Amino acid sequence: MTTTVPTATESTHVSGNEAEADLPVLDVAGLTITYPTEHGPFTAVDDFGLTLRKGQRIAIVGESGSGKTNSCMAIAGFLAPEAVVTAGKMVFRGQNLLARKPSPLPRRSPGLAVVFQDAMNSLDPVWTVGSQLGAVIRTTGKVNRKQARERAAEWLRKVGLHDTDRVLRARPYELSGGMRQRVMIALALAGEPKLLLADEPTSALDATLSRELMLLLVSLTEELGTSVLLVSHDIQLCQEFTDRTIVMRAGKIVEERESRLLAEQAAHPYTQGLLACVPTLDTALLDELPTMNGYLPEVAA
Amino acid sequence: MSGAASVQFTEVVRTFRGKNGAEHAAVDGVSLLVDETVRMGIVGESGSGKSTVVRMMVGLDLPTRGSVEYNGRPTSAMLPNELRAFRAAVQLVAQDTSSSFDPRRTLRDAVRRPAQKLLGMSREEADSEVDTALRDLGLEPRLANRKPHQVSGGQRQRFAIARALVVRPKVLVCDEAVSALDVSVQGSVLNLLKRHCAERGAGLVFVSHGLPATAFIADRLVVMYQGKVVEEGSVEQVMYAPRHAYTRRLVDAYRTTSRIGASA
Amino acid sequence: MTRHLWWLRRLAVLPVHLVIFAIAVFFLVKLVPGDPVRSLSGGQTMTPEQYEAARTALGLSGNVGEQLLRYLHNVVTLDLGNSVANGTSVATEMKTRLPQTAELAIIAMIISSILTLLVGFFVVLKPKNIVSRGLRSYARAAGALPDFCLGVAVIFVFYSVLHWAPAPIGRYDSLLNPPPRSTGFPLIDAALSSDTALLSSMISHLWLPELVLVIAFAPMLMKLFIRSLGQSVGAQATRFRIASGASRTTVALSIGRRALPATVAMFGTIFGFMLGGAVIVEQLFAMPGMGEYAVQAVTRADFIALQGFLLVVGGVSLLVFFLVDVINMLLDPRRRPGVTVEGA
Repeated sequence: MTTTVPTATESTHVSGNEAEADLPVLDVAGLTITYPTEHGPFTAVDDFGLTLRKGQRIAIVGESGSGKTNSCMAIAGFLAPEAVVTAGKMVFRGQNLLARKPSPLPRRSPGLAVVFQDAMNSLDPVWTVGSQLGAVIRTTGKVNRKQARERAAEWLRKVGLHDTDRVLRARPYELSGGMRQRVMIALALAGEPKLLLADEPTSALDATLSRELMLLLVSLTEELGTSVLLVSHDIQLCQEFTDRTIVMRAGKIVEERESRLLAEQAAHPYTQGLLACVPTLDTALLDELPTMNGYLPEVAA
Repeated sequence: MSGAASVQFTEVVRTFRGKNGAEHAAVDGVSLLVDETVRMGIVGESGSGKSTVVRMMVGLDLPTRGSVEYNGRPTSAMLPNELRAFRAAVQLVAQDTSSSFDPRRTLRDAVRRPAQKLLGMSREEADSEVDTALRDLGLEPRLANRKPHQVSGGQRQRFAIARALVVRPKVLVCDEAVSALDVSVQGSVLNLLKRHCAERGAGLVFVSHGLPATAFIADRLVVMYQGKVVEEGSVEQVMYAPRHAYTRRLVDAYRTTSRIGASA
Repeated sequence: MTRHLWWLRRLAVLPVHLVIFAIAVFFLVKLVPGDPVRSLSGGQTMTPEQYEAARTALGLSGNVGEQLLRYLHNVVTLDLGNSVANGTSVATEMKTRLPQTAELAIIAMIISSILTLLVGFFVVLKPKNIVSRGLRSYARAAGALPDFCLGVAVIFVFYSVLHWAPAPIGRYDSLLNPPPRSTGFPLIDAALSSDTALLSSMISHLWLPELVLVIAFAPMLMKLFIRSLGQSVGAQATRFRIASGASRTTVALSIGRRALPATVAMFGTIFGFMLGGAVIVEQLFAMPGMGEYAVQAVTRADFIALQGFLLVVGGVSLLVFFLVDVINMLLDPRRRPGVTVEGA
């Protein structure tokens, strides 16, 4: 049973306000991140940039060391304090993200939510789900306790958890892995963010659960009008669920294209190699799997 | 090289006591045979019991009911010298590499020691085996002088594979052994594993939640779901004519994506 | 609703611990060499009847089993017996001396806790500050200083050399009268009696011994708290909280609640050290309290007083451990009995 995913093409405006829809939600240019090491500064990201519009979904694809997580965390404001960040601009809904001061305890950027790879480490282990959801819902506006609780239950139902009373009273360690993942999504979206950064949300999941999670994320963010920046190493996932894909390698952007056209029109040999190397049901029948050797002579080990 | 090595599971059940005292069967009645001629892939989601099966297969755990026998001897009743022979013959590459290396020793030391201890190789012999394995896996020799926490997760995983290969096992068991590797490196490592087992006449048990990689490296597929084996057969049969509903769901999830993937 | 009765399970274990400890004390004191009857009688010859009578008076008649049962019965009824040396009731002595020593330890714990919280938050939230770096090194190194060495050094510096502190001979100036007894805690009693001369004399005599206790023990708490807090602040759970939009207060509470349990557990252990430390400090500064009593009991081989001392100190410690456990179980529900944390 396959489901086709609706994609927002560049020309449709999702909301009524023309001016608002024209202004990008996220505008980054010339982002460079270096870390001081004993051998001199190490460049993790070199001249990264993107423009993300309302309701749009963009994926950043890369392998380890590509700089995709650093770029994402720089936007979120969660880089380690020793990181040196320079950029031409980094603007989120009119707010200059570069003006944020680095600190061990970063401040939140209102309207920006993040989802991480593992729910077990992301959910606060000592508080109940209800109290964590309540804390998020209360920041969306003046709601009393009863309304907040109803809204929390509503969000649980939206992510597919129907035993809302039990889940609200439970603590993260009392839930199964799959339920924790859904709670994490509910927590990220209950604040009704304008931008969702998803850092490898499906990497720990198998194929069926991955698709379920992405379908859920896509339907909920479309309902809210939230833009999504998806960071992943799974190039096929990115192709299926996003509008544009950016490919990074060793800190640099090597390719950027409309997602559904990536397979046909990939220009950079690294992208072509990545696409060819993904294990599929077809490659399973070969005697030898394709490797990067055909595409790039020097692949960092 | 010669000599049989077979691990036989007979109606194996492994239960754990849950928090409310209820018993939960992680593995519920599994029978299978693994020897040096086998190239078996075990797929299933997390919680399907495949990791528990792996632990019992290499003697790290014992069944609650049923028996796990190595060359006819139950693993629960083995003497120390039998255990040594068992461990040398059946090697495991585990999923969690951060805890499977001694943090105080260099990686070269870690990869070399099992060969010295289990096969009685001299340090020089072991070193040359180590160098061959590292080369095959695409690891620079100087990385081996580092400690486990000083290399990336993907590199560490390849060192774990090297450690198992150097011992020349009769059966190599891989539990999510390539999951931490980048896609660009996975292909060459999977090719290497397949070639190594074919050339040395070693058996291979590849356990993963990723169906395509497992289907590539194996001849036969075993599908596990909630502690039971729900499907078993040749790779072609399981992929193209799955019988169980879970298998069909699993194959379908990849069928969508394989349409989008580029064909060579 | 067994979900809410976890503290009952912990409470139920407390009397068991106390009984086991009491039995241990019984046998421990029996290890004191010599025959108490003979050392008390000073070597006089006694008839077998006099000997037996003396043994019965000391509670030593019968075999070990009978003695143990009698002893346990006394402990449960809070009858700690009478001192062998001067016949005074051990329990009465404890009622006076325990608050004196406990006051020293409690004040030191309060000051240490406040310092730990302040230093911890400062060091973790402003790591690049030079003061921060200095404090961090201090916390790492300072835990190694033994309190009696510190005590002697501090008396030498602040009294002998600088004359900033009064002579270390007691809780207050010897010319003043003791405070009227209401709570038993000397400082509180002085404050309640509105005798300002006494109160100020007490405070000036207290600051040096408190300084010793705090310098000796606070670094252990600080080191642990700095590490826990650092981990808690940098944890992914914190970032997720911030990112999901929780208010700054909620984030701070969340960080605190995750960082505290390890330090609170250490708090219990350090309280035990502080009680021991208070005993030493009392000796150094010639203050009356449990320390004086314990030293006297040991030098006179007064095994009943010694038993009483051990039981009281042990009992207080076990009570503190219980409180610490309950607080930690409140802070972190995963520590409650009967909870198993599911793996990912």
